[in-house]
Amino acid sequence: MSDADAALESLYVAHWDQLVRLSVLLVRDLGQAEEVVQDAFVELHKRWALLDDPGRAPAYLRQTVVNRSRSALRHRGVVQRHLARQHRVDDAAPADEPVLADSRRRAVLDALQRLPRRQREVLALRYYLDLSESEIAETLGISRGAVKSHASRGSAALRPLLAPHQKDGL
Amino acid sequence: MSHPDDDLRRLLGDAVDDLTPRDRLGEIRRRTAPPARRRRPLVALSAGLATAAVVGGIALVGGLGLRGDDEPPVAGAPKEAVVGTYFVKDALLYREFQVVDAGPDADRALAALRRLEVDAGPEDPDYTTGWPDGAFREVVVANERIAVRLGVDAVPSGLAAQQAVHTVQGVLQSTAPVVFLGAGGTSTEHLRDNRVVAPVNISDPVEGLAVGDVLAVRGRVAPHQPPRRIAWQLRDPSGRVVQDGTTSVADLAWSLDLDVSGETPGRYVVAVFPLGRPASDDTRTVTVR
Repeated sequence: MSDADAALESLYVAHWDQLVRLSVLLVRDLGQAEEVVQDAFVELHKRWALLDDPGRAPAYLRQTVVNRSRSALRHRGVVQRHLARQHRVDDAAPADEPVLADSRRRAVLDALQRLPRRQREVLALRYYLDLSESEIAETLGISRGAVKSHASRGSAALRPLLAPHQKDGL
Repeated sequence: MSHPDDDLRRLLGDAVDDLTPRDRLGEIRRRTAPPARRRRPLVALSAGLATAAVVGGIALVGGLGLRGDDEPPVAGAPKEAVVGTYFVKDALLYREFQVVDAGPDADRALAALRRLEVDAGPEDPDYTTGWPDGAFREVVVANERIAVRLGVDAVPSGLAAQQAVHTVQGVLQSTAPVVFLGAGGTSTEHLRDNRVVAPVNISDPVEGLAVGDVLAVRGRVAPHQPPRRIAWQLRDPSGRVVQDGTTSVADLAWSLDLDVSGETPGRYVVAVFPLGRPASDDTRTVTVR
């Protein structure tokens, strides 16, 4: 087993579940999130020799997951448009619909999907992964000021949407 | 009462923490396995290579066959193009430059329009958009019209139509009327309305730029009743104005070079507006190092 193989396995044990859940917050689809994170692990393995510091691997994985989630959403949009052209009606529920059936979960994920992309990414990194402003800035390649603005607008937009569920006894 | 940040933390956690991702380690191992474990039969060689294979066949399989699912060379990656995209603030349109893949005009125009969809959206958090995700399908230029095929039934209300008209006309460098073809079969034609463009717009810097000594700010004024002078302010992290002044407009454009070498490092806001109309401002947040 190479160094990269061993490192990848440790990273998998430590981060797989959390990264998939992060991607679910971004793409709202468990199956797609698993694909995104799996691809991120494979990409990391390919580039392992190029990493200056293996300690940065979790940050690299995180960044790859966010970027690939963004691409997946865009690709999904293209696919959906294509399907709509082909069939007009495509009412089949996604394969993981039962998993996402819980109404509170759906409300949160739907609310996130309605936000502009940057706001959604900042909120997921800040409130799910608990990253600092500078870590978020580095992950997304934006300034700390922009992180602050997106976080404040995103959370302001999210609170009223989610208020009914907070009253449910959260 | 709990802190609002804790509520959001709990809310996002509750939404996904009980999801159990399937185990994909086996699949990852398979995809990252050393190439030597993958076998490619010699018969995969084409007849044309058969002669060479007599001498170097094994090496050829070893050398070429192992590239497997490697990514294509970076040199083949598409180049990028900058497009102006229009977003809404205070019932006016503001232009923000974004990067899309280079390509034919219609492709760049469609890529620019897709930046107006809420899933992409503006970099500047002050701006909003009226277009939902999946709103744009195709751009076709024909018969002195720009046709935009939509993935939604109709053009959203408000300034959405003008957002798209200004964006697509800017990319195509044409002021031809824009016909929106709704998914439900509707068709509406829109002309450019210059009255909804913000009187002053910052083109450069982009939101969030970090600067050292000099902050160069450039922008345009609206062609409809353009202001002849504009005022500017630099506000420190507390919102206090630390520098201000005015500058003239020439050929609908203006520029400023602000000396920020004496400012304490931090997050500043540069604001520009028509002289005497501070409510019609455009702002950018910059970081002074």
